[in-house]
Amino acid sequence: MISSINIIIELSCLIMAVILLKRDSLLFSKLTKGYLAIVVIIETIGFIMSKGFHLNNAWLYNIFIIFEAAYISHGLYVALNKLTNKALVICSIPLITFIITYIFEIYTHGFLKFNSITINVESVLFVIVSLVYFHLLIKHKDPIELNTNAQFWWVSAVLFYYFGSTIYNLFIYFLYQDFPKSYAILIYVMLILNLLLYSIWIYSFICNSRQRKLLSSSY
Amino acid sequence: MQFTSTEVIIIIILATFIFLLAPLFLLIYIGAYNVRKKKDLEEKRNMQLEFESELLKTQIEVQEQTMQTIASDLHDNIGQLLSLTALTLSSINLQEPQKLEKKVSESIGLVNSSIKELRGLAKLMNGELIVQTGLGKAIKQEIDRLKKIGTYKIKVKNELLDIEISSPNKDLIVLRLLQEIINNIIKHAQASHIEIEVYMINDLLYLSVKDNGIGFDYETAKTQNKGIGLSSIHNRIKMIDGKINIQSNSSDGTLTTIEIPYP
Repeated sequence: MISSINIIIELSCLIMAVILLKRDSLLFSKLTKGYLAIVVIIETIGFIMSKGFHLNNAWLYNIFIIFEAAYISHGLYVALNKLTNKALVICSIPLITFIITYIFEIYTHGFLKFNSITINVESVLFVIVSLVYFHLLIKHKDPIELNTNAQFWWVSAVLFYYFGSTIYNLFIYFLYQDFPKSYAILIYVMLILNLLLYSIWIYSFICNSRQRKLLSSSY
Repeated sequence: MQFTSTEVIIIIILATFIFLLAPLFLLIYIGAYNVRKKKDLEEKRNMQLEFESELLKTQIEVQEQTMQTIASDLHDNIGQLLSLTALTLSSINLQEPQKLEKKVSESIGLVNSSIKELRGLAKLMNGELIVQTGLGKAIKQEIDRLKKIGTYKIKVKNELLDIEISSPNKDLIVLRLLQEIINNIIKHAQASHIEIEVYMINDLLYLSVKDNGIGFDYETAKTQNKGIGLSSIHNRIKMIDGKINIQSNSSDGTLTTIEIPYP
């Protein structure tokens, strides 16, 4: 049930992205639509595999996190690039770390077990890069227009999701083994985090659309 | 220590709540900081506009002062000289050739004096042009104007005549400040002696004007608008980050000292 709600939330975000970013020719907007489509497809296949056929879908999510790391790193790079010329260096850190931990985990436990260390390390690094973005934003001499700044809201969603998921990441194995009855709470936590992530992203698409309208009306 | 399932659920809910609250506070802080940044920027823009408008006002006032000087010079000097020339020429009697040469040479002398006065006036032109020749020269011209009145014994120390540096906006304001101080002396001080000093020490420009007039109550004048332009003087000094000190009493007259970062 909760998994299907998650898919509905993700699908809504994809539909909103397609509608609101329709006329946006930026690479990041195209990647956003592509990434959200991958999210919906993977979640649907994962759901069917798990609930319908009771199959292990960890390998599928091991593939998915490659797209996730690449997309989030690129998004953070796009946001940081407007504030610093060291954006590439900053954003390559989570990506390189991801590659190292990913290879390490596949080497140690194979492809059929979920790469939890990789995703935990990645979450921490995404939080740090998001904080770097906000730090630079505060230091920046010009104020920003929050109603039209899509990047600000996109990074805010990333911060909420990855900082919030720390609890999920910390408790998941402990609860799974010792408190199987309480395990369901983490599913709800994840649902809330997904809801936050995708709803703030939808708002960032609205900001993007407003920004484009403002730009086109000023010409 | 053993936890029950309910306790674990409560801990997770609380921890998640706290972990979501932290980014929320961060965003609220950034939003508030952004609003403050916008406000500061707006204030800065307003101050710049205020500065520009005050500068324009100063420019107009300097021009007005120049026009007044030109008008009074035309009336009092050149007008008188030309009237005298006309009178001398009209008194020529062709029947008295022995006086003819004397009267013509007197008239030529008067016309030459008029031409000299006119050249002096042409130099005044407008405020901007005065300042373009350098603050030292502009101050010298202002003092020359004062000397022409002839009522005052004037002592001058002008060390800015040979300096190379300039700051057009500040120059205009300093010139106008000097004009206002001099005008106040002429209008209200009843002084007979004026000492003007202008010099630079490191990056600071000092202007001091001392008179031996009747003085005024500085504190009262500051609170009541007595038409001596104190608020305007203070406002302009503040605009260029300067300092002003006015000491005044009935026995010693008034000493005004201005300190301005320069250029």
